[in-house]
Amino acid sequence: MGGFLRQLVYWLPAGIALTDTVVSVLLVDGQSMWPTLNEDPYFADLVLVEKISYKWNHKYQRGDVAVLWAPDQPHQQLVKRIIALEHDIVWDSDRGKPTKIPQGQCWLEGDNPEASGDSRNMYGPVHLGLLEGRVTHVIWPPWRISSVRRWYPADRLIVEDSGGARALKDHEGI
Amino acid sequence: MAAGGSWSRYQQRIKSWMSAATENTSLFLHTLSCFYVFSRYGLFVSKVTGPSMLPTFGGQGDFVIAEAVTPMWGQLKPGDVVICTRPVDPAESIIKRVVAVEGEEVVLYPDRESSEVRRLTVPPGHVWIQGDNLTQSLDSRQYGPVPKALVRGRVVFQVFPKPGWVDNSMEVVRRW
Repeated sequence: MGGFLRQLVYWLPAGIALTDTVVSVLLVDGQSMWPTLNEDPYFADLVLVEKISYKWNHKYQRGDVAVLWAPDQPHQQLVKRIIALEHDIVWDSDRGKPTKIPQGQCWLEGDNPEASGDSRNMYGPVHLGLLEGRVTHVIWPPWRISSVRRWYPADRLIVEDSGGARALKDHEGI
Repeated sequence: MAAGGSWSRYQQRIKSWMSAATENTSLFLHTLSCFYVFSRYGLFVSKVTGPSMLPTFGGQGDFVIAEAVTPMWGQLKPGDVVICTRPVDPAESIIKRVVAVEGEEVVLYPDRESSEVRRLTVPPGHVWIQGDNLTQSLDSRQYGPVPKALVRGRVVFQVFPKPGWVDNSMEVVRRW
């Protein structure tokens, strides 16, 4: 028993380092990402979150499902989808007007607009530095095991930063 | 018989090499992880560059020690010098002073940004940061209040060039 405990204490820093910098799991709470996450009303999804894209590469992509720290509550984590990145112009459906995303920020929305507090109704553009990791897979319960794909609604983006005005098209599964 | 003996000795050498390698790798990973946990949740060293915190820091390569405990588990207060992820670029870090915390009102006098007096209240979960060198600092006056989750550490000690405790009070701000 003492040997096991000592092993645990020995590997605790490595466990913390691993979950902070490489990959961790998260139990998703709430319906804001329904039906992508927590589709089953009786079982919360357990998801795999990879930290390499954001923390090492600083590569943020439209359509990512991201885990982030809430701007108004520094100890609260949220799971939302990146709809637009810095310099994009996004259609703010709550205010009914286009919004340009400042440098270093992004626009996030939950897949379930009625049950989601996000950039539209609560936060506005969110700092990219708050993004903690990217959800790649649902790993529990067993019948929900699947990969979480990159997708974003084409009707929301007016102008994508790369290369000026572009005709809207459906982006799915990129 | 002799051939069998030397093969098994060879196998033994490989086995003991592998177990030593495993042990050394695990020790290396453990040590690296301890360094990570200590610097991310405890104390870390940072280098200050740029003129935005003059005269508090020279910006020519000052080294400071910051603690991560207060931003994460305590309360930041006005006057605290902090190290944050740069709001306009998440890959960079900045060092500024907290001038106002959530709920407090900030008055912005006319400057190159606007010609009128603006007042705003720092929203929940945010801090208002400014460089001590107001004329040469890009800070909350330009990019607005900063979410507390971006604050990585509170600077406590200057190691180089003039060793000493850092004055985390509003004295500097009062002198403006």
